[in-house]
Amino acid sequence: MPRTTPLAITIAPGDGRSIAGQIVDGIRRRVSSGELAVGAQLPSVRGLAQQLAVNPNTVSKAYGELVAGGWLLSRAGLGLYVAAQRDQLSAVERDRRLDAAVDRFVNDVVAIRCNPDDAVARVAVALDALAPRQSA
Amino acid sequence: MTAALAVETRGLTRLHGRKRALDGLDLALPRGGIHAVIGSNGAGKSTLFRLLLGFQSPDAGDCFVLGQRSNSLTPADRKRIGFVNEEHVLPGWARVDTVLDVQRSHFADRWDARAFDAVIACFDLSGRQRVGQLSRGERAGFNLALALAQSPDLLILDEPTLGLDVVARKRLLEALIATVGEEDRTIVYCSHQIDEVERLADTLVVLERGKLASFSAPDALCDRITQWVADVPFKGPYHDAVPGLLQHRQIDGVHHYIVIDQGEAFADFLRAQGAHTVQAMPVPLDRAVDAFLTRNHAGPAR
Amino acid sequence: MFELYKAECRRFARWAMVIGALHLAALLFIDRLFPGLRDEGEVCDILGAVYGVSGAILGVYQAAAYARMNHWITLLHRPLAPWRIMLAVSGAGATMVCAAILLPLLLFTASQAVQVGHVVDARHWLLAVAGALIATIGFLTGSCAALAPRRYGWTAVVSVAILTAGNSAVGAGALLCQAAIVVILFFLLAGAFRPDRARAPTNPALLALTAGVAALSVYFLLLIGGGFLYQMSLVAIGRNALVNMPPPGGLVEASRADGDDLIAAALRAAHTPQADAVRARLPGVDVARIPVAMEALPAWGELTNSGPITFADSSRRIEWTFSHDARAFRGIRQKDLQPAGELRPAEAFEAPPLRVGDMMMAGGSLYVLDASRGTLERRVRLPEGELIVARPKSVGPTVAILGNRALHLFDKTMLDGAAPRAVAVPLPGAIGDLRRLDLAHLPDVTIVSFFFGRDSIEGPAAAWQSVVSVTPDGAVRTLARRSFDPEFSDALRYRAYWLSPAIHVVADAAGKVGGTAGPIQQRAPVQVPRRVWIAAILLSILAALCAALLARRRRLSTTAAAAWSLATLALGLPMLISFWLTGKRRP
Repeated sequence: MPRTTPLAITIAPGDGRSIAGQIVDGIRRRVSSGELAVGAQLPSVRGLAQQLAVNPNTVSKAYGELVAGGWLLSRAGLGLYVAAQRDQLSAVERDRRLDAAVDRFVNDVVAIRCNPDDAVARVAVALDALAPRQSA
Repeated sequence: MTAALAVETRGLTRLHGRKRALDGLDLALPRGGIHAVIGSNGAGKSTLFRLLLGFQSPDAGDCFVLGQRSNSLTPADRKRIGFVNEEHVLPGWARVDTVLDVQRSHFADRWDARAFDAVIACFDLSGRQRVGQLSRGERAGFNLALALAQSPDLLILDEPTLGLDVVARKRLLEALIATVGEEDRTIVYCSHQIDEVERLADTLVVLERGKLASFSAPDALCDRITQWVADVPFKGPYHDAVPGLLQHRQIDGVHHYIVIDQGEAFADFLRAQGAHTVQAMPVPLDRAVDAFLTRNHAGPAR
Repeated sequence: MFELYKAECRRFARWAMVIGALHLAALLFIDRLFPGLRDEGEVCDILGAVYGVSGAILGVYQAAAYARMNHWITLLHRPLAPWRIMLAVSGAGATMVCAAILLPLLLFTASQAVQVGHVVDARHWLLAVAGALIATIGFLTGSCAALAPRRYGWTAVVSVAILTAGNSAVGAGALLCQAAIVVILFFLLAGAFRPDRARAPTNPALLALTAGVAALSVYFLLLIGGGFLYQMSLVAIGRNALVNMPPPGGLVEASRADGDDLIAAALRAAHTPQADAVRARLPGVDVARIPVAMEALPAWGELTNSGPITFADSSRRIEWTFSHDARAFRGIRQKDLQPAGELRPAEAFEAPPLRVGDMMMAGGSLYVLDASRGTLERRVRLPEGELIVARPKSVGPTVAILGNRALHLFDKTMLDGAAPRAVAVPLPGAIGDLRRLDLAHLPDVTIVSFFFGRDSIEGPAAAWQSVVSVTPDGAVRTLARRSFDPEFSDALRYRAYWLSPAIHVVADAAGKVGGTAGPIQQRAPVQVPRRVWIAAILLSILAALCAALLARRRRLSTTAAAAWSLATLALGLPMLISFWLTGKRRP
């Protein structure tokens, strides 16, 4: 049985997103980048709650969302494991989410008034860094 | 007056001179979980706790804890309720050992030595020290350890981290989190520190001028509130013309509106006022609460 | 509960030890410097007051520290009934007070007992206990005052102070009275010891007790304060007989007159030839003032001494001290401080003797020390059942001895052992009312003036004077008798009655309980005019109506409103004020 993989995510209380949202995002990021391999065991609810100093119910909620979204697998009595990633989103859904993400990104950078080309180039670089490990 | 509710108040009113410290408060906190109570100073939080524990009497309405009427709590009821306040009052002349002995004798059948040790380990206390010689943080840790060790069904904390340094505060929070989810325990946590509230709370109770202003999960409150940035020309619309306005600032000619319960239609409203660029952003909890509580003074008069 | 008690004891333990040690050291030191001080009644009273105040200071200190809201919550939010918490916390304070007061007193008394020179009776041990009880009373009163709501917390102080200082119980009876006050205070404190301190007790019995004590205190304050204010307002308009010019021929003037003027005025008012004849012979004759009855006579087992109990036999160089247990004097030879045996008269003492000059009065007997034989000889014995109530006074060839039924004039030769011959002048009134006694010896007849009316100027007693003539064969003839009209209004003089007849009865009884003053306190019953009773009844009815209105305004239940109104009807205005102070406040 694999041991619990250390989960290096942090949460920032003053951030715009809820704490559960930050946990979900953090885990999804790590799964996408491959830091969390498929089949790796995640820390228990209480363990992660203690690590992050947040209410275990919040961690529960985040885990629940990840399980529902297919990112994690719950094995009864044993814990939570990273699920094999399948493409679960329809094209329409993917488009919608992509639009929403672009919107958020644009909102966040609109005040900086930087060169749009620079911004696009930066996004490309960041996605490249993730790309090799993303499996279709 | 159901036992399924940890705390229940019905039309609870308490006057303080002419001012209403609590004004017809209707609250129903279910058992289990952490309920955070926030409100500006004078919103009636401390009064609420005193009424719940039976140390003051309401001028109108009723209040119940764990299904029992507050002004007739028996010793058996009090055994199940823990209370920690910001002063962390402990007899200053007594030794730590003595205080511990007294508490253990009260809760002999419920004493959770493991919980006590877990908390007290974070603080470097000696049994022979006098309580008066402890630092504020050590006293707070000791007090919380005592409260947790009595295995309360309901634990009420009234600003327990007030005046504590960063280290002590963190330890207190960790100790609290470690006990969440145990045996149907309910925690009512009152604080001004929004970051603590955000970490801990399952539900958020917002008190404003003695009334219940909001009762929901923290995320739910944040979801209702959005910040809109737009370049509305000149001074923009009057405050009472803006739907759901909580706060308005005009910074460098750009208008910032924080509104509640407004959807995408607000963008249309802003464009109708003459804005060309309209952006919406989610709001972190502390700004949301701040805006929510100051909504009646929406900004510089306009 | 016991852990809490121990912890609270530990809080004060060091202080108690230090103060106890200082206390004992002070007692021993002062007794060394001033050996006779221990036996002085007034010194003991002052010491008692010091103990009471010290106890009160601790009571207030401990209770006030807990009374702050967050501290109160920490104290009372426990799985322990409030009265148990009170027992633990206040009990610890009382224990420490007793330790600091009682133990040193007991040790001090023991140190006296083992020394040869001192007389230590059972009553001295009881006196030590009384000291501790007074300190405990002070402690509990201080706690009550600090914990009860401020608007009526002070009432405990007034009632307790007056009841403790004012009652006339003696000996073991005094201890029982003090213990009773401790019990009452315990219940008062239990009423105040509740989570919501701002409210009066909900338990009906405790509420009744609290309201009753408050009513009693209000009564005393109205009595004293009201009387004072009334007098001051009279002074302001220049009509106060005591302060401004008293009306001529009236009571106040008579109370201040010289003996000869007093007698002359009475005789003049008689308008009889015998009176005029006597009045004509008066100028130039010496009029002696005879002391009237003392406040209290010594009683067996009394805790503090009513008067001096030692005397010295200078010829034999022996110092005698009276012992209540032995009912005799115990002597110490001054040259080698060894015991010199006991001294008692042939017949046992009827009452503890009181030294007056070089004589001794005890009960109805007068004794002198026979210098040649060193024994106590009885010189005078009043008739059966009569007591000597005042210091005998020698006037010319006679010695005047006042008994509780008559004034006895003895020949001076009886002091040297001659057979006592006396003329008895019966008192025309009760001994307790006798305000003033004057005597003038004319060659063939003795004139005695009795002025009755203690407590008649500002109080409800009647004032009158009787002048009699006594011939050596014992025949007594009344020469003149006159009454005085009161010089203050009924409202002032009978205020104890119209304010609340019921409370007056209770307060009076409380003052007398356990006392043995008996014969010398005998007074003629007060004649309360009917209009005072009517005023009292009307005032009670009015107060009851106000109480009912106040109950309605505070939205009390019908039973509660009825109970308060009935209580006010029974106890009058003080109860109305007590209801206003203690009743449920918030609508």
